[in-house]
Amino acid sequence: MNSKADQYGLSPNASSPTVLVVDDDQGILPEYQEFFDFAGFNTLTCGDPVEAFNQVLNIPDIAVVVTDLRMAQLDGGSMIRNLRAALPADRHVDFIILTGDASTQLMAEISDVPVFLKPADTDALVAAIRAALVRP
Amino acid sequence: MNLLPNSLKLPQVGRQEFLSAVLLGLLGFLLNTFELQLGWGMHFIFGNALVFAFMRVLAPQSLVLGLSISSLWTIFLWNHPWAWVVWVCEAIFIAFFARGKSPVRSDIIFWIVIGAPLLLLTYGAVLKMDELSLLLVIVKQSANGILNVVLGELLYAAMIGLSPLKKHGNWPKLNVDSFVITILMAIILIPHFVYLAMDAPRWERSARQTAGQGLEYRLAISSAELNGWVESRSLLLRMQAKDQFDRNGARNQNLINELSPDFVHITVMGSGRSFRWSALANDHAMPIVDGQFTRDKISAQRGVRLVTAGRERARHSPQFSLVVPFNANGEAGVIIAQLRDGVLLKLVNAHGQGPAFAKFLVSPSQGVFPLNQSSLSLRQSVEALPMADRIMSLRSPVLISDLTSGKSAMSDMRAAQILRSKIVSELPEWQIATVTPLAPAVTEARQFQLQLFTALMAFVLIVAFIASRISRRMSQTLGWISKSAGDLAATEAQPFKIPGLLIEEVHEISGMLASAGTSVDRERVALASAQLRLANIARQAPVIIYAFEVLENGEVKQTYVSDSLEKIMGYTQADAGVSGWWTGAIHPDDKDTRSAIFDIVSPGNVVDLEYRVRHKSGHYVWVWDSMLVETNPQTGKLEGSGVVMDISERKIASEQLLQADKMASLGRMISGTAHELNQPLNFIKMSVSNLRENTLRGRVDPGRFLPKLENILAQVERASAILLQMRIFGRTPKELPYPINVKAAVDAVMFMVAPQIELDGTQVETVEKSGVVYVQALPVLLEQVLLNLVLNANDAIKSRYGRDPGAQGKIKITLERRSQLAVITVEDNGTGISADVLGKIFDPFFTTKPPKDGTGLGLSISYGIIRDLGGVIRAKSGRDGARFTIELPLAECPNDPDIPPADARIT
Repeated sequence: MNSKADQYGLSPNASSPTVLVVDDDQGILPEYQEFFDFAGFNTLTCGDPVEAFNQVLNIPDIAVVVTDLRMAQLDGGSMIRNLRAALPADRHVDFIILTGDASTQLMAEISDVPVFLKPADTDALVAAIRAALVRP
Repeated sequence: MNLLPNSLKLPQVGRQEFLSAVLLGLLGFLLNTFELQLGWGMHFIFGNALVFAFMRVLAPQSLVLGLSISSLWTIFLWNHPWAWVVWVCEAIFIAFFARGKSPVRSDIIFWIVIGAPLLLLTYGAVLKMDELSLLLVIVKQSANGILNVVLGELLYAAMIGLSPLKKHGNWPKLNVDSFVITILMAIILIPHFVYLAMDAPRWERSARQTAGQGLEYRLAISSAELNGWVESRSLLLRMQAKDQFDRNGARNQNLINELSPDFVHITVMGSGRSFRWSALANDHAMPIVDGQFTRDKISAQRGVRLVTAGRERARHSPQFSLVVPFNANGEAGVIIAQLRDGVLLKLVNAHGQGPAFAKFLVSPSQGVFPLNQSSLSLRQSVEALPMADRIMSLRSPVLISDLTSGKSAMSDMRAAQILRSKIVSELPEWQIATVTPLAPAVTEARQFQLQLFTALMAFVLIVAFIASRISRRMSQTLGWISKSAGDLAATEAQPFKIPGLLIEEVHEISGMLASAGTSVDRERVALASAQLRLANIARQAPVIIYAFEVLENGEVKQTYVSDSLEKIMGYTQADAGVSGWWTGAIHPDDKDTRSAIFDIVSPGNVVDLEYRVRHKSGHYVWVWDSMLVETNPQTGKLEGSGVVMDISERKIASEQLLQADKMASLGRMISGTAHELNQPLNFIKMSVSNLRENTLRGRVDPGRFLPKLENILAQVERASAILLQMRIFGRTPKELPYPINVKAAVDAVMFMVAPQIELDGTQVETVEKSGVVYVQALPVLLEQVLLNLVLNANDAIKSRYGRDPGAQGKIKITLERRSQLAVITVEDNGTGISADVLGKIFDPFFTTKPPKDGTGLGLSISYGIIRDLGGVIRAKSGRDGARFTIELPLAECPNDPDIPPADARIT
């Protein structure tokens, strides 16, 4: 679990499912990394939603994407929609929204995506990710 | 021939009118026969007046026809056609030029221009009338003509004054011109003619009497002369006869010298022819006495007398003999002394010899013998005298001229003479008649009449001239009045037809005035109802309407305030009557603002203002006062009117709305803020969670922990910053804005940000384009806005040029005045704003910056602040950076910019 740090995108356990955390607040990404490492997930973080979009497409191990909604370059909702459209049919990725905006209307648009409000309920978030990862 | 406007287009004359014209002419002719005698063969005739009376009704040709018929009488009256010719000319002139205008004036012009010359030509050249009579005829005929027209006009006025006539046909009214001149002429002419008519016969009578008197004296003298001669000659004859008889035998066959100048022959006869003696004058050879001396003639009982001798020499001087009774030897006899020719003539003419007196011996049986003149025509005139006149002439003078040429004409009167006769006892078979011409008296009378007529005509001309001028002015004046009356009348109204007014202009004015009266009346009713409506509106409307005027001393005097005052403000009209009541009711804080309105108000501009006024019940009411001041063009005074509306509700609503808007913004902000605050909270939670986990696992590494703790503190700072901004946005400013120097606000901001900006290498330039600019604001608010703009600009520069722009970044702040606005521009040469975000940059929490750098509230708050200050903020993106423009209303420069806000209001 400690071997992820300098191998972005090239996981040592190539076949192990990976969680990608996307947030444009660069400062918090190390904290996410550390947190999900503690939770025992194979974790990647990305501060740029556009780059995250490419990573999801390029790294087949990414099985769960946890994303913020309000981001300057590309908002989280759009990224989810674009990814769903872009991903091949045999690829299954679960999405989880982690946002500070309680009133977001995107919840209605992407209703099948679970939403966690910041500050995150860490136990529930971990449980949700775990549930998604064990899904076949 | 513009002078003949209608004459060439004669109207068709119907049979009825033709007959009417002929009938009128005949009536006029009849009336003319009742001529007015002015003496000495002068007449005034009036029949034409009757025809002239119808000049406005008849067609021109009918008028001429009627007048030529009525004027025909002059031919019978004066035995020549020229008067008729002149009068027909007059008729034509009037008919074609003057109908309906001013016939009297036209007639006066006619007599001057045509009538007088025509009379001069006809009476003077054709009839060869003497100068005096000619002049008299000219003035008299002119006066007669004018009088006829005047009488016609009066008659017409009388006719149209009678209502029954008006039912038939068109009876035009007289115009004022015609009316005035007619009346004046009537006043001048009619008394003159009345006087002349009364005076002239008296003149004639007195002249006749004077002449007759002379004749009487003359006859008396002649009679006395004759008598004396007969007496003395009888005595001589008797003496010679006695002498002869006393001689008995030797009788002298010759007449004694004393007798021979008078007699040619004497015969002395006894009654029984017992004696007979005769003697001859020396120069006569034959006795002329013949057997025609009848016994009857020589009858002694009849006294001494002159008798005509038997042998009549008709148409020549008769042979007169003096028969003197004589007694010889007891026997009665007579002396018959045959007069020499011319003795009687000499005798009769012994005194008072002169051409003025002609003498005749007139005998019914023996004819007329002139004694002292030989004018055959005069002798014939005397011979033609009827017996009745001859007998009449024994008692009073008899006019003999008329008899010679029928009806008198003026020219005949020049030769008029009168005759008086007397019977002398010694000449029993004869009358002595003496005749004298009346010419001196006629001439005198005519000279008098000429003077009178000339004066009259001069007067007529002067009066006609003055009357024309007066009546023209009157006509103009009446025209103006009529027009004014017409203006008064509503345009669609027809002038009323007022019956009974003779003068056209007055008729028109009355019609107009009557119509105007109705219009005014109608309008007055409409006005009253409009006023009532307006008053109702004013009373019911939720506004107070007022009017005022600015007095000469600058004081404002209220002239009107609507009744709605009481409903809205609680004050009655009586309360409002007190001078200065309104100003007194204004909220003390608003008084200065309100009084300042009169400094800025100018004629023609609407000024409005919101301020508070005390309701009568004590509370204050927000009102909106809009007034317009204008210069009254009549008085030159400033007058104003305006409307005051209670806007308390609107004010409250507006405040509520503002608050609601704020609440809505707040709602948006809370959700935004929640997000924004959740970010640091999330970070803190993550970090703290990780720290705890590390601690639980025993991995306490201060080198690792310290940055995390620093980050946590930074996030707390961020949350505090967000909350601070919100507090500014959410607050309701209690302080009132006051004029502040914009440059001072910029300087204050620069003081705060300069260290950081200079660190980034950005250059800031401040330009005051139009001197010191003041705006109504609070420094803290304006500084907040400027701060946001400058920091944004600097951020944009940094994102363009990186962390170290290296003196490439420039911020330019420009302050300037643009009409009534203060314009503050903040320009940078940073990244600029893309078109798709330009519309959203003032939305709360919109940001292009990374979360750490911006709250997304700065521009939104700035927008709100500028809006609250009554201004606008706009963003524009150019090729090189962005430009923010703030426009705020200019404020007056306070006297002392440093005085504290509470006292800094405009005074």
